[in-house]
Amino acid sequence: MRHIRTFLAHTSAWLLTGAAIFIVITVNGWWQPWPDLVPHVATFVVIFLGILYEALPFLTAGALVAAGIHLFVRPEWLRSVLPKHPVLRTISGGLLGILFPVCECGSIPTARSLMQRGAPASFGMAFAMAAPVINPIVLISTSVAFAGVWGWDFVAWRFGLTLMVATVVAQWLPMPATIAPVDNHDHHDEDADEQLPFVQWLAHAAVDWLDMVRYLVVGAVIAASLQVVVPSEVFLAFADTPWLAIPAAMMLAAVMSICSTVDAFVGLSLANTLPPAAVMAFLVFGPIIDLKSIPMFAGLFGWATTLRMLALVVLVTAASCAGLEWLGWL
Amino acid sequence: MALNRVFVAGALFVVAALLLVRTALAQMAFYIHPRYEVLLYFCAAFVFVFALVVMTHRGQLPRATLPIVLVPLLLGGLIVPAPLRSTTLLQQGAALNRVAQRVNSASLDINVATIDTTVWSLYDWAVASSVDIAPLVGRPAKVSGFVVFPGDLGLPPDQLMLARYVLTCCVADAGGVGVRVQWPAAQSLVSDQWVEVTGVMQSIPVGDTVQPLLIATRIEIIDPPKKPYLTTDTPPVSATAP
Repeated sequence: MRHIRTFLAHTSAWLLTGAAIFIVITVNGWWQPWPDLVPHVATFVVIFLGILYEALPFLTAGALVAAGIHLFVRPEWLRSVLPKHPVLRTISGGLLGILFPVCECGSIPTARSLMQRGAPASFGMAFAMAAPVINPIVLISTSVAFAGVWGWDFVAWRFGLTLMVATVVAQWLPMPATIAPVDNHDHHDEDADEQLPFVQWLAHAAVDWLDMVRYLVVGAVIAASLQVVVPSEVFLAFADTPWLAIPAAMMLAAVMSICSTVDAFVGLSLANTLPPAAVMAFLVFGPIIDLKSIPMFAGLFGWATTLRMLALVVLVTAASCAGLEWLGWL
Repeated sequence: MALNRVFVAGALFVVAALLLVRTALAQMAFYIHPRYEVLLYFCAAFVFVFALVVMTHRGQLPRATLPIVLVPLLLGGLIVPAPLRSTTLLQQGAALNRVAQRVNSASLDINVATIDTTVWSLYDWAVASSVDIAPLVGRPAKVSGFVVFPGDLGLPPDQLMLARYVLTCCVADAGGVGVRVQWPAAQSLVSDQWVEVTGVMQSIPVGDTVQPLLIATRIEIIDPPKKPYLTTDTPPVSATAP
């Protein structure tokens, strides 16, 4: 009976895929964004799809890594390898991105999987916040962009500040008693025990992906809407006011919602407009949290914790960047 | 099989097909940096597998999956893929050429007297003029881009703005680069028309600044390119210097 069900499902899947490709190709001309839509709506559609198409592969990679952790990392092993001291444990969460080079779309599902396998919430939050920056890919891109412009100090400060912000926020923020599970993980599938590990891995990844893609879509809608309503020039108008340049740069980073793997080059294009401390705030704040990732964080930690986390990240990032500027270290 | 599961699986099949078709037809170049296109094939393959999983497994699906997945499906599937146009540039205000500004001008070793400037893109010209316009005056240029209608920018009737977008990651970070073009028949061109302009670079005072002005000797209407955006990792002008 089960084989028949699987056969029918696979056959209908191929038929559905063929039909889907046919539909996508044939409807490829129904509605022109220009001039059929008003310019703001047309711009929203292009930016929304741009954010989504760019993020989807990384979300997929994150879901696959998260499912692998869920299936193959034993909770007792994870607890045994983590440092016993709480602060060291949180710092180690912030540094784990060196081994898992993922941007924010991949770090959040990975963090949830780590927490579901027994890692403390502070460890998972530090990883989710810091991994988009503390990884080899971003180290290289930041070095290429800034080492020749503002020196290696600037590159080092980006990593140091990100780790500091992630550690301080994750260590001091009161964590929820339980982490929101993926719906499917609470529901026992009677076939699961008979399945090959590879099939179980894909099943976990599929549900993780479906769970997180909901938040990604909502975040991309918000980010694209704000980009259309509030152009980047509005934020950069504050560039000449020293005490406003840092918060303006942070708001710009949140609205742009760009991938941390290449945001250094966008930061470089702002370097003639903004002071170094504001560019640093752009590079530290954006990868930690942006409009695209706020709903994803809320899906993991709940809205109350996420909003407290957002407030703390804003305060610590702004204060530390302003402090570096005041000390003349940037 | 629950009806919701069939619909979710069906939606995922269409998402996979959408990613596959858009990437294969090079339409993703309207939205993201080309470096990510290969990743979308990988993504489409896994979304296809996830759709299979949704069909064959009996575990619960996350709540409200279908209506949220339908949002990108409808916007990406029913609306014809198209790049950003001049209206977006006008909405962004005075951001033109900011993406090309350089902090450390010493890092750009521009010896324009010995380089072939006709191979420069609008991005190259914008980067070079952000350093110093004087050495560029008198140099030949051959650049392509879309027209921003003179009336939209308040330019004189014999001038138009030739512009392109430059990407680092995706259209969310797109910034415009452009140059004023002097052409007696500028009024005969319309916004978003793609043209190739041949001419000689000069400069013109605009307010307190000096900006490049391309004196056109020939303007040819061309088809929109398959990859409408320039990228910040396009070899910069310094790479072509001896």
